[in-house]
Amino acid sequence: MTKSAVKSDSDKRRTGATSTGKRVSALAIPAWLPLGGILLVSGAETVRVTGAHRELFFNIDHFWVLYMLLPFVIGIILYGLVRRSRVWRLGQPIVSGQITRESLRSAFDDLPVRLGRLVKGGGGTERVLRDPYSGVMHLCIMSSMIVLFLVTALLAIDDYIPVEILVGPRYLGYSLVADIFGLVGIIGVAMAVAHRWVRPRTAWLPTWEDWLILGGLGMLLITGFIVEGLRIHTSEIDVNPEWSYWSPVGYVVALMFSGVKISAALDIHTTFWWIHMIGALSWISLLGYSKLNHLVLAPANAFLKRTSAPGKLDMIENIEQQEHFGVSQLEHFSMKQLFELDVCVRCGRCTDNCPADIAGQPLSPMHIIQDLKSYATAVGERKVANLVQGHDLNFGLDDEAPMVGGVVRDESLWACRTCGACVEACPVFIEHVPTIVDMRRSLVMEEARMPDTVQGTLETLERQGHPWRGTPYTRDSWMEGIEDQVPEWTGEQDYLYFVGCTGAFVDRAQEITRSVVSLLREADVSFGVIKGMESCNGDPARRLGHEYLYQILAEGLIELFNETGVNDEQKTVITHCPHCFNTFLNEYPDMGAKFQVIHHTQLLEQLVDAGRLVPRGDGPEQTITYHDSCYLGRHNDIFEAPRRILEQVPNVTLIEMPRNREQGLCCGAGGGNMWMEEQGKSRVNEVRVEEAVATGAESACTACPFCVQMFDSGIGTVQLDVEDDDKLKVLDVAELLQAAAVSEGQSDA
Amino acid sequence: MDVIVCVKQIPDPETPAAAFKVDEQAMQVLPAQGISPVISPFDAQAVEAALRIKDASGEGSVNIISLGPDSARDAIKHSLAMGADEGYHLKDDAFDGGDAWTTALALSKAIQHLGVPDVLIFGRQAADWDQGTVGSIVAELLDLPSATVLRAVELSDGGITVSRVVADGFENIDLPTPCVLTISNEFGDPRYPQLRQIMQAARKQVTELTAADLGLDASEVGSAGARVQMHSLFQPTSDVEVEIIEGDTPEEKAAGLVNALREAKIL
Repeated sequence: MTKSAVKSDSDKRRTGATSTGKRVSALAIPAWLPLGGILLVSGAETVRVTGAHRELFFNIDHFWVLYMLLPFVIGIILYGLVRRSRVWRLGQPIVSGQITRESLRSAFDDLPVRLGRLVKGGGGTERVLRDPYSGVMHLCIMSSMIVLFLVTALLAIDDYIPVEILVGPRYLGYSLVADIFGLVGIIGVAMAVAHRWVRPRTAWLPTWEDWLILGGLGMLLITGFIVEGLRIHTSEIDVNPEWSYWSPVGYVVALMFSGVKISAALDIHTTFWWIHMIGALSWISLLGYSKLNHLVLAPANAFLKRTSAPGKLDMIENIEQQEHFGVSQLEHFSMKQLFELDVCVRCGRCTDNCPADIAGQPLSPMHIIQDLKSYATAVGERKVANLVQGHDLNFGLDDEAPMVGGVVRDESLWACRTCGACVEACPVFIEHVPTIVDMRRSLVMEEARMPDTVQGTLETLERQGHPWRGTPYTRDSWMEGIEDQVPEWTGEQDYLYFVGCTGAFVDRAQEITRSVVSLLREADVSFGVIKGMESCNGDPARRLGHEYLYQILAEGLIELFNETGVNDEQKTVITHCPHCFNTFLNEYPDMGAKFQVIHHTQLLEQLVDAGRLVPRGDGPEQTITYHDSCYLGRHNDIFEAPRRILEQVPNVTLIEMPRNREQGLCCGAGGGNMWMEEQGKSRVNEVRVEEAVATGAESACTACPFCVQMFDSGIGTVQLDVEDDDKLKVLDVAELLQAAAVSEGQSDA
Repeated sequence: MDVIVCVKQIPDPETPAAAFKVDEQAMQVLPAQGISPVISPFDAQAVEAALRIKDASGEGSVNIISLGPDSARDAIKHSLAMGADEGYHLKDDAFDGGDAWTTALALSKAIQHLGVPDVLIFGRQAADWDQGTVGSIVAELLDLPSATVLRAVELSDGGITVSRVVADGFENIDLPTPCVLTISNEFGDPRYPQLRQIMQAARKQVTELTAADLGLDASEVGSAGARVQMHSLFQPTSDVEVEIIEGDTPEEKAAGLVNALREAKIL
């Protein structure tokens, strides 16, 4: 459509409004207004249509039955939703304790963000559209339903107001739009059916629900056209044939019925009209009883989703006073978590994006949500009944399989990388990760049931304050030989460089630590290191489900930061570990942290921009692919800083892997999996290394010491038969920048 | 079935070698910075064995005794968190500087003080000094039958059936009760305490007993009563030289290795 066409459209519309003296704002549906306007105008100019219109209840007696049924249908829908809400209300109030004004406020904080998400993600189906096929399919069905609903409503309104809107050219435009969107709906349904029939995703298989909803909708659209065709056949085609061209689909149907006698056609028309109308009311009733409820629940969930950083886990307040730790029963979930289960439409995108599932490991986020949903239906309803009858909540439920370990298997919970790919992919804004970690919390703290490797990691954290069991190193091993080049933190410097456990205890990561120190010295940054006294900030314990140990470790570190003057709004903590970064930035404020946090890639980018680090131009030509760390990228939205550093190193060509930025694939180490044995067909790091190798890049660059290790070990197996010189090289961004920007004499530190 | 387990707190065996230091003058191991002492791993397995015996018999108690400084209380608390019932801490300056004999003597008095249970369990050895004698000495002092270095313990009619780890296999033995058992690492991993139990254990009182409470004179225990004298304590240094045998083919490398071993008079 050209600009001038749009202009003439709006101009004419204004003219039309003046001449009839009636506003057409009721037609203001963005999706079809321009189209309708154009057609309306051209229709007015080319055809004699002055009297075109149609009767509301043509050929129908007792139509009042319909109006009688309407409140009944609304009642049925509301009954279904309210009944379901009793299961949601088994959950914990939004903030532990009771529903207070504060807890309500926490569900409505950051209102602009929530409203924006409601409009874009709910109404605008922003995330649905990311998948081209199902995005188009969904858009077809959704736009068709909205338009056809409004079309029907408009016809009724038109009939009951004294002035006629739908007459003449406006009626003809209206007819055309209705027909087009009816057809669009059929296309959408056909795509949905094909999707399920021809290429069902491996993650799911359609159920009766899918076929009922799609079959019902298809039936409605087809009977709608049959009714229209019969009306045209019996009342329009012979009298005002030029009107019927404006209902092209109805016109074709009318031609198909042309051999049928008018009296018989009128009878068929009545029958189909009632089938169509009763069918429509029955179909919409599914809204209270099936995944069709996403019409209402999905936008609601877009609004209700937390506004905190996606990688943040919520704290268990007053943990020593809790009656249970984590979630082992439905009622331990929050209301929001139980509500979310019903929002799921089984689209499978979470599972399609899950690194564990991609590697053939025993985790499908969609099945966790779906299995919990079934459990909430079966057992939740009985718990509700127990409440109503004044029984104990779990009366008569002793024989049910346990929720954690039965409905959701332990190995699924352990396979989660907390990478957030599922949360990012979910078109209806479900947050799988906190739900999974809540159940891990119960496994670890309530039942003490976990893989040996997890137990060993937690014990090492408890005893030694770091997760690296069996390391031959101490906190300060990395600075051996360069002690005098590593400034001790005095409380006077601007930045504390928090080395973290991996940077200190793992030899490969020690190289990264030394690179960072070297760059900070080169750029003359005012920084220091707390020598010998650092301890883990608790992130591994928290991700592994041991919230209590996390809180103990975090309290200890905050105390150290208080004593050494780090915990000050004027001080900034640098970390090269995205996991430390996420915990400090998003979770430590709950523990009383006031300091600022910066990831080394952010700081290095600033230093390069400011000219304090100058990459030399004599470096080797190299192609590099950048791998996004989940906790830096997806969880904290830092995608560009590391890339901009790479782009500023001369002779570096950056190549992207197909899965990058928000869609980046985890290296496999997240969620404590760094310290676990993987179970399943293949390893996540091998899948990711294969993707990196496939780009043809010589090196993979990342900004996380875990990713570096996972890549190194993945290359060991993926490129087993490749000559060492031709193997993919793995570097932290800091190492690459150090090679390019630090002069030779400096490069030891 | 009533069980008593004797546990010892030791420096964490996972302490990295670089952090392990001794004071040669004082002949003492210096605690590593930031690394808390732990219950000896064999002793944690002994507690696990005791808890399984209690569970299998369906009744009785598991009580813990530890001799050591203030911090030894944490090893008792850990055992309580695993599920043991009561803890007894033998704490007295008079115990300082003791050896296996004085420790066994104090423990045997404490056991008599509490009443000899059906089963007494120890770890096969404390993972710091690795002497492995306290359990056997206690058995002698109390005149009880004993079986050491066990990989399995089961209840049988009127007694206990155990499986010992020996050089060329396993030895299955029936013992009457009361008896003394020492548990080896082959027994399996000890349980990880549930958080609720950790919190309950933190609130539980540990009974402290002194030498006087046990009817022991200060001259019988600690350095005064010790029968073993330490002459020196040092960290051995070892110089390792690495020589990479070069060669284009595996055959050449193997030949080079054989020559090098001959030169070193190893072959």
